[in-house]
Amino acid sequence: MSGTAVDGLVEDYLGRLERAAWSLPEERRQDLLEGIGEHIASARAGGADDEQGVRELLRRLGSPEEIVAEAVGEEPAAGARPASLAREGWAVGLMTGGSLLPFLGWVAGVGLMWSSARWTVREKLLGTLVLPFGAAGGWYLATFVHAARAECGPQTRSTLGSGRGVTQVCEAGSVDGALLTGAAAWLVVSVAVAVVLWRRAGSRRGVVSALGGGDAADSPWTGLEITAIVLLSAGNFLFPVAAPLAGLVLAICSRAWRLWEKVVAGLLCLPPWVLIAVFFSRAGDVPGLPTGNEVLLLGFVSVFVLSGVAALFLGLRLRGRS
Amino acid sequence: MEPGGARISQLRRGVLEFCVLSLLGDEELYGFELVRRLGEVDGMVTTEGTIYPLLSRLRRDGWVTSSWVESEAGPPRRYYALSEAGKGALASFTDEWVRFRDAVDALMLGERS
Repeated sequence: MSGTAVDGLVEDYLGRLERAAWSLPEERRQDLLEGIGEHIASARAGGADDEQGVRELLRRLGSPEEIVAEAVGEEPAAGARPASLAREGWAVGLMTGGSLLPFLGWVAGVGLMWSSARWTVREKLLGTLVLPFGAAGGWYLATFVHAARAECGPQTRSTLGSGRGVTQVCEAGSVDGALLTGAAAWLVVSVAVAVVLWRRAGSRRGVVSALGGGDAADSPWTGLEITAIVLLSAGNFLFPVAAPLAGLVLAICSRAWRLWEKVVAGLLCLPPWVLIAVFFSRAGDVPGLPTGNEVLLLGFVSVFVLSGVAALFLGLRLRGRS
Repeated sequence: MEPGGARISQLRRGVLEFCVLSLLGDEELYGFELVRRLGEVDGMVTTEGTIYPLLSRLRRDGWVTSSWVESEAGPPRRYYALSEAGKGALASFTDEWVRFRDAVDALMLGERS
């Protein structure tokens, strides 16, 4: 029997082992593959290098699935306290559905994912690259392409001038079946990746405590707090009222901040909106006051700044504690 | 599997790590050699590959240390040795085991003879 056929047997076996060991933390998997690889190499160097010998060797080792099952059994139990999957939940949720807050929601999700110890680097790359901006990413892309196509020639301008009530001036950008299909496929793939990542994280519930150092539970920074700060600071660019409000609610839910800190953040975020609303409703009525649009612009800028300050304040308070 | 087979395999699993410690107490061994020694004892190891996750855990628990040694034939070998903590664990298990074994023997075999 040729050496390459025997090599093939061994490669198949180690490949199966690697795939079966997918659920183990990176370090354990490496350790296991190294051990079994060395075992096989030692046996072969010791003489069992014909096909029959190698088959017997692999049979005695047992199936890769059996070995991995044993390795999983050797994993430390999930620990005294139930390990929280909050960070992973936020990560997967924001990466998939976070595109409701276009771009930034997804960025926050990816950030959380990379900060978790429950995924391997390969899985993190998968989560980052497949597919960008999550479930709605395809929709953005489709909209973008659609809009680009809708840029029409000079004839459009003439119709604009002549017709009253002509709003749809361009026919070229009509809904495209291929674009819709692409966007739908994007959505399906994103959700599938999210499901895979979530299940992987779930199967590694105990990993964080097993890894010991830098224990997430000892740090006040969990997914909740990070998301709260992200929504407070950057959320304004996406959903001017809703996102910072959601961030504030999250911050209030979190046990990482004291009551007075939450009150300060709330005072920074909320009253300006009320003032602006009141002011805006009266704008134009009173001579000398700025017009509606100016108020709106001014209001937005100041509120952006204020909720940014609130986010900064909460972030600094937490930082001082960790 | 015959009735009680699962229990026997649980029992085996429970004592296997101390058999490993015991072998390493005599001399340093590399994985393949260790597995071969265990395999020479009938009924101790059914799937040899499962020794590796066990060795990995013993290392993490600090009962066993390991070091890489170049070999003349084949790849470098990871040699396993018993640590001080491992020696202590092995000694106390051995005491317990002797008492346990005698008790079981007395109950099960003593009645029949």
